[in-house]
Amino acid sequence: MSKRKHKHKNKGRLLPFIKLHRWSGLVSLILVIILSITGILLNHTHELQLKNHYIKNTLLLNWYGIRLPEQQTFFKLGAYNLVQVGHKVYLDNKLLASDALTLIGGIEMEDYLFIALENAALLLTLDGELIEKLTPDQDLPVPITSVYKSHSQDNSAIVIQSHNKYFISDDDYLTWTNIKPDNLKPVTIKRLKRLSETEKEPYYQLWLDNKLSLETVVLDLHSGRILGQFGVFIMDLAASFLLVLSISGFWIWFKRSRKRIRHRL
Amino acid sequence: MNLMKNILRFFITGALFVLISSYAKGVYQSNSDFIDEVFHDPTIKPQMLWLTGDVKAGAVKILGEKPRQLRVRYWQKQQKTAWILEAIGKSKPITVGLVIDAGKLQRVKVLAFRETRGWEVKEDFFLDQFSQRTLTPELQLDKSIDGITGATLSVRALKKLSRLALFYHQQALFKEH
Repeated sequence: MSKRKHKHKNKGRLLPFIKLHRWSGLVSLILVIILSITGILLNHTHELQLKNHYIKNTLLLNWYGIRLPEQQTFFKLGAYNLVQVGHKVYLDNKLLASDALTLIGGIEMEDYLFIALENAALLLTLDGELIEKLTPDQDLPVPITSVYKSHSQDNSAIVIQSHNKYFISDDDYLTWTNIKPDNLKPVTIKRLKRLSETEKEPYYQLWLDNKLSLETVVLDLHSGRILGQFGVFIMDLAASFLLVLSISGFWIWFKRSRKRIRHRL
Repeated sequence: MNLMKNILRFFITGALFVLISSYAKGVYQSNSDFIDEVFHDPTIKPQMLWLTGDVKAGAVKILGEKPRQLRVRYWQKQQKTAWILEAIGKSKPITVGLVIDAGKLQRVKVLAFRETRGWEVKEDFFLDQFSQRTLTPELQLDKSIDGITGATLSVRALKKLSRLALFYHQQALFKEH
């Protein structure tokens, strides 16, 4: 058999492996690039502080199902913005509570700010510093359904409504006494001014911040979970192609090198 | 066979751990019940201590950080005061009732425990160590408290709260005079 024919016969035997190798490489090219880059990033997640970087892109947040909650309340309380988004309550940019049920309202007293939530109340200085969080453990009547400012001859006090009963606080907001609504002269509901759409915008961003870390996204890209179960299957496929690439690559190299040695001899 | 036994033992231990943890978590006594039990006086009213100036500085020294609130409430009858304070164990607050009589810790009780680990601090064998402890001028307890393996953070939280209550007690009585 001539040398040329032998070479052709050998190439013919290797051809399916070469084709398999080539196609595996082409198909898995993009996925392998993603796998490699995300793998390197994850190996250095601590140094790169991926956990502390948060995604702000609305499209990506939407993809993860992170959307603004329906519960949103925006008031003006004195010089402050009093805002509830989801379970979070803010006074300007300061987070006051992260476990709040409905924000009922707020009242600016002479020395204090009183903020009523459905399940608690917050007593703040006029500078917005927390004096005390009043809870049902401290005999605060809950759920609070309304909050009023009651004016008596000497001073004004807070009145809260709960289970269709009215409770007035002492001067220090330490105890609450049941009163008849008739005693409230006059009882005025503090009507708070609403915020404009432009004023609301920073609070949406504040709520969305810290929701999705870059580490989660990189990890999901690496595992394919960013596309759900389908993505995992695709990454499994990419990993299988890598396996095929390495085996077929090794086989081609092995066959060729054996032939080269035989040829030298 | 041995392997099967070991696997079974592992699962039983795990299940027991989960059961004990979930049993140990919760509210053991309400704040008002604790105060009723201590003073036997339904008319007793809370008072407040403002955490400003030297009181705040002392609280910061004990806690290692700024107190979260500007005032703390307490109940008092003669030289006896009761405090209900909270501190974070690992990630959730532990609510503790503390009674001090004439500058000495009389009683420490865990009223609510919300963590999954470290619940042993609610047991009497641990809490009895706090009885009759006083505060040194350096704002430390006069005698060391033995820890519990696996409950380091909860133990630390209780030690801090007992120092804090003793310090608040001193300040409340000082304010009164």
